[in-house]
Amino acid sequence: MSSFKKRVQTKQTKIPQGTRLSPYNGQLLISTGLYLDFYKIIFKHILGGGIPIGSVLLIKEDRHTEYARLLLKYFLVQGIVSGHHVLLSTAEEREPKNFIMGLPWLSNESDDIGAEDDDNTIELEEKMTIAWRYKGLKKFESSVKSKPNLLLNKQISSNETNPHQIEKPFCSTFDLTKSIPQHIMDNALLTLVNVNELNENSYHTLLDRIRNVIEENHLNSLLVPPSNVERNALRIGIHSIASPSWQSRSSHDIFAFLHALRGLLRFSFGAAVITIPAYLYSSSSSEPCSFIRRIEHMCDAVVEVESFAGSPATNNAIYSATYHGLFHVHKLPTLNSLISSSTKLSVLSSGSGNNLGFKLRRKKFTIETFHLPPEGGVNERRVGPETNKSVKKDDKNKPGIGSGCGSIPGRNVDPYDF
Amino acid sequence: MGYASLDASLSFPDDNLPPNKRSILITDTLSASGNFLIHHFIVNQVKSDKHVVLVGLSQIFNHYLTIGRKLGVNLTLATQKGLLSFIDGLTSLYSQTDGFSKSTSTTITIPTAVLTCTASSISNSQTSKEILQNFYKVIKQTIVARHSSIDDSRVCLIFDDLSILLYAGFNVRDILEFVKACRMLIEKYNGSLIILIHADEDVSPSSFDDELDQEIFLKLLIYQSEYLLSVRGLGSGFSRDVSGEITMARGPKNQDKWFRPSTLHYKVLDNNVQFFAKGFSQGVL
Repeated sequence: MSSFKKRVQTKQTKIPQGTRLSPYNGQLLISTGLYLDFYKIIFKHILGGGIPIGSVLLIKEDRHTEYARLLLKYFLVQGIVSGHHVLLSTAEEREPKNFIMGLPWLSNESDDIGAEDDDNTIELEEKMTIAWRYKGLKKFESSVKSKPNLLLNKQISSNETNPHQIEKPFCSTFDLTKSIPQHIMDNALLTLVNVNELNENSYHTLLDRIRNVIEENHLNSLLVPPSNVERNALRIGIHSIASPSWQSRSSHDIFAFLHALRGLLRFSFGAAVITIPAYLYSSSSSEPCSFIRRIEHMCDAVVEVESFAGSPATNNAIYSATYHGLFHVHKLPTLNSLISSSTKLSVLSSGSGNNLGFKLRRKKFTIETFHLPPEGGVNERRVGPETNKSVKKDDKNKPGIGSGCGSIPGRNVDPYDF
Repeated sequence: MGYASLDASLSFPDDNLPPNKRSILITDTLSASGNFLIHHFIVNQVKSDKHVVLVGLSQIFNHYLTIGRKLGVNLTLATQKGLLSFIDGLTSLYSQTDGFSKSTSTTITIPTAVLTCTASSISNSQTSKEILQNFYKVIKQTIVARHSSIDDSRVCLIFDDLSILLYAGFNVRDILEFVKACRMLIEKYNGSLIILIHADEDVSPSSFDDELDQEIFLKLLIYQSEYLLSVRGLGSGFSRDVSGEITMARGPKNQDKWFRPSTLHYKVLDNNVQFFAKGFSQGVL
């Protein structure tokens, strides 16, 4: 039954550029803009193919580092590439424009091979041969191939003359070493809101701005746009909401804002990504405080970026060499369905069930399943020159002392002893 | 299997409908949403041709419609037949312009009523009370318009996410008064009241006032309810086969002999929810 409805919808209304329908429930999706790799588990995959139009994604920021900010950058730059309307609101920069200027830009595929990601090169090659076969199939792709990206660069360069004729990409690959070209930035549909300039009630004013943008650009899904206007999508990025720079009359204002934003977005072609410095509000890292939890309840999806650099406990751990932090999924979007679509579509069993780690390379940010690195063979368990921590552990568990659980003094070392 | 096993363990007399003049309180957490229960009660009610008044504070009608379709009920049809009255509390609860609800086109069913508060600030206790009184009037109107005779209407009033009101800054005592008024209304019409709220336990308090409000809110709602359904994630963490745990407990006023409190595990599927005794998930057996 649901598939029937979906077909009718696609026939009736053309979906906005740079979006696609979820194969699972016909939800309109926009991409997070994160690099996609067949072998790697990615952000998009966890969310079930993308961020559903009409939903609000909350990213809990990391301590001391700026990985969450990077995720927001990916989301915004993807919007610019896809030709979406982009609205950015931040209080952390003096000018929100600075944030836009720091966005990464499309990677050139030929540069990619032979770059520092040596372990990926083989995979990349393999992927290309597969991608080549499916090149004819345009829109339906579960990952971004490197090949179409070349095409895309051409598209972008020819874009300025007639932007409406070329199909805009859903998800592209970005290179963190590059920055967004000035002419692209000038031509992009940008709305920048500097929270510092807003009056005493930041949330309320911001909401009004968003509402204006939606009305002016005919993004309301209930109203039929004028015939000469093509339907576009809106990406809202709100950086560090509820940080001390935001002014409000009462602590309830943010909830009213989120509730109204949700109601607004449900009937418009837009999605929002909000980052929040949650650590500012909680005393301990393990338990979120009730204020943050309430905000989490008000959003459709909640993820958390936990950087290893942010806490001394993990900073020196062995795995901090391989990964830069952990990626937690607290809540998945369940719009129009009982379960989130990632449960069906993803290679993962479900988002929250997997331990995900992320790492930041020179050119890209990847999220993958988190594994503890192997600690040598069975015989040489925890010996050899490793990091400080493992040596310390080794000292504690010296078999001769027999302090290990279940080991008998004088007996041979049990490899499974701990 | 599926929802039938929940009905079996709830063992409500006649047709698995919530008993007359009773309230059900559903509490959920971030890791395990209690939504699936709301949908279940809507579907049950509509299937047995009884009236539902759904106050959607957290979702739009389309959400309920799509899930209802998966569970085998056409809610658009139900609305036309007068079995469902959807009261929209999401799209224009705070907006002064409220242009969105008015521009509703034919594609999406127009909500029966819309909750709006015209005042710019609800922190003021006087306005908070007035707005909630208005909400009550809207709900009362919806029910009165549908049931001219009071007899055995068995109307079911559902609040999807009453916590929203508390978070939004309504005075907790006013909300509780509002709930009490709804309960009286329901009793008059021989109906039932279902409320969903969030009650996370694994959080540290942020500010004293908020914490106190939440405590009062939760405890008094528990006190007013006959059945408590509490949904939470597994304490041991995530599992592939089990989405969470649901506890059915007796409220303080509940004297029903047939009601047996129990705890079940459940697994949410695409178009159904499986319930099973602890340790009897498919992965184990």
